[in-house]
Amino acid sequence: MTVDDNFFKVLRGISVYTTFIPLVVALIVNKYLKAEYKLLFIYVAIAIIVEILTTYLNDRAINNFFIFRFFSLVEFTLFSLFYYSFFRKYFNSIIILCIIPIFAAVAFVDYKINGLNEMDSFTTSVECILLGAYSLYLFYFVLQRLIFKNLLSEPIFWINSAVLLYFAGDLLLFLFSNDLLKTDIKKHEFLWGFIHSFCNMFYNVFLAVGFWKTRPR
Amino acid sequence: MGILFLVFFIILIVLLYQKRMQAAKTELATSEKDHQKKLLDASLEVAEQERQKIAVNIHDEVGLNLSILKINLNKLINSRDKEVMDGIVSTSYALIDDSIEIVRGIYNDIRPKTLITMGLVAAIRELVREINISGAAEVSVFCHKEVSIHDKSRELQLHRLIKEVLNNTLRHAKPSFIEINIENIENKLGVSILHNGMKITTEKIKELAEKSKGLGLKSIFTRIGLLEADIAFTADREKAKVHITCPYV
Repeated sequence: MTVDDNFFKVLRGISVYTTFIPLVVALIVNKYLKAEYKLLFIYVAIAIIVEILTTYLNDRAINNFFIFRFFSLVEFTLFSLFYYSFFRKYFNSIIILCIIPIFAAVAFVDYKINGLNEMDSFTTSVECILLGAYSLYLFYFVLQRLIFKNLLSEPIFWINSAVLLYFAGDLLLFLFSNDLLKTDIKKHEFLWGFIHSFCNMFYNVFLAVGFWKTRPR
Repeated sequence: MGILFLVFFIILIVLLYQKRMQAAKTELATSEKDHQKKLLDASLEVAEQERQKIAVNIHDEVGLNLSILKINLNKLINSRDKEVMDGIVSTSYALIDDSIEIVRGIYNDIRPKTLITMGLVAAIRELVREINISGAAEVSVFCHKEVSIHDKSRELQLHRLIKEVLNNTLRHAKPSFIEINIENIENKLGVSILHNGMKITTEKIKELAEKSKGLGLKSIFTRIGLLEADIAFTADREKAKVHITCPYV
């Protein structure tokens, strides 16, 4: 194993452990969580379980892609419901709910084409585009309306930043992941070890800050 | 690179948001300042008009009476005929009485006696009595629990406000009956003026106040602003209503 391999292994390890941070913070502030943040609480709890399971299977060289197929669907649904809960206070955002079954259909088509043993790169790419779009629209919306007195003290800002950083940051990674696995496994390991780990760390820290900001001032 | 770009993008959003918030706050402060200035200007204009009204009354009526009185005194000095002299003295007494009444009227207008001695509700009842005697409309007053306003200048402003609203209602809405209800509403004074005249909304009245050259409507909104009160013009199928709520302090 080279120094680079060790470095990426350590980085991935740190990235995996940062998944626990938002869950711990969410448990601490659980009594302050409103309905939409409870959805994210469920999401981080499921994310931990998925992380543990996939790491366990990966260590035993067992294909774990089938778990990610289900997780992508759950992840997208929970985040969609989160954004729907936010936007419906201001306008009729039923379109977000309508996109969920469409995404499920995309996930089903991807499964039919690629099967359970390949990464759901197409599904996750669509997920990244949609969640990235929701995130960008939310930033535009709050900028236009100036809803909050202090943006940095609002949990929605941190959650939204987490979504943008992670899903927009990893879009290209997810899009080309399956091809890289087949053609250049070294590059695949570098990208997952470096880019995804950094995106994941930022993501979890921002989610944790978002949960922390839900405490009453 | 992509991650750095996204981080910079988020920082840019935060900075832009804070800049826009600051601009919105400044705009609000400027708008508030403009509103206060308009209020002050309107209040000065109303005070100036009142002074002019008093000046015109004093000059045209009291002044005229005093001029005629002077002429009469000159005639008295030069006259030897007792009958003529008695006539001049009699008309002079009448002129003096008339002048006293005019000055009393001006004083009562500035400082209504009933308001000072018996309070707002009694002053409103007196005003209503005068309107009923004039036959302009049939007006009634209901006050279930006596109200007491300790701040006398506030009480005077309220009296003038209600008087102005009644004047405008009689002049423009032309009702045949008016019902005035005075009550306490959670530590505020509530005055409702219900009538069967022409209906109008608060927005329309504000529009007319902006466009109107006369000071009647402007003086109503000026006094509302000075008292930090609220006024609402509403209507249902049968009656129109003007509702004033004013804090006691």
